[in-house]
Amino acid sequence: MEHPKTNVTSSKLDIDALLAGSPDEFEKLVRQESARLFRIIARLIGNDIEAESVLQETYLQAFLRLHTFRRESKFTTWLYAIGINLARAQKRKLSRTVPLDDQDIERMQPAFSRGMYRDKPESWDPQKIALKNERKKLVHEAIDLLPPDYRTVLLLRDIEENNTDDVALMLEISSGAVRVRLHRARQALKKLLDPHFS
Amino acid sequence: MNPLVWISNKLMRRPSCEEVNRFLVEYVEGLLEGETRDKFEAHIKSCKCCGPYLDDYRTTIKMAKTSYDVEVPEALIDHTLEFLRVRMNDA
Repeated sequence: MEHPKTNVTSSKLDIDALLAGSPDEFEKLVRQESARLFRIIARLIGNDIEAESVLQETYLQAFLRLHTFRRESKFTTWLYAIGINLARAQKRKLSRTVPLDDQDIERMQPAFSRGMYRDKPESWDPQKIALKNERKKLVHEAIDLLPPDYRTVLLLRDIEENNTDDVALMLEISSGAVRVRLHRARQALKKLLDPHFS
Repeated sequence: MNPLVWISNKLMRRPSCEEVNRFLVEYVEGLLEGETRDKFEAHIKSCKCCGPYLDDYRTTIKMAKTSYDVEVPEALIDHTLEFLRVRMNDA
């Protein structure tokens, strides 16, 4: 692992060499993916120091499990799936807040009668949105209240801006399930924010 | 059946607010096309509930996007490589 940084990061990953256990390719992987993977893990856990440990553990687990990679997805998607699982487990250990559950999410979806909104949706006031100093904090806290499955989809899709199919591969669920969860998460988040912006 | 064909069939007649709400994800993702999208948008434009709801739905997405700042530690890669050097030698 003695290549200068520029050489190591600029070329494409050689997956065959990586799977054969090449230390140089593994270093290249670490240099290429760490910033993005760290952001995902840090957002899932909500703690940067813990996130660094989980990032390191993610690479170690990936290295130890290289033989289990089946080439059914991009290698990085497989790596991110390991990181996401470790981050979610760590979040469960550290979490002090009790997240909402599936029934809460169901209650937070709009209700319809004969195909029409039962209650007319309250429009948000753009001035309240613009003026709210603590807006970021409010949104952050509201996202933290979402059940882990919903929160994870929202983080990966809307915050990290991965495409739906990649999120489906990372979470080992169908793209349709990602969209359903994402929609319910967005609607629940909107409902949580309604009192602040209506 | 391809889910987009199913959505398209659902929206080909005048869609209800509930159907429009159900396919907001696909609409925001740009997956609706042609006449399906036109019918969807015609409903959104004329409906006093769905238009504002879509506006706030989009605002929710935007606010979520900017709500989580994460600063990547400068020495992250060096620390990680050092950790791996030690642990991979042990493994």
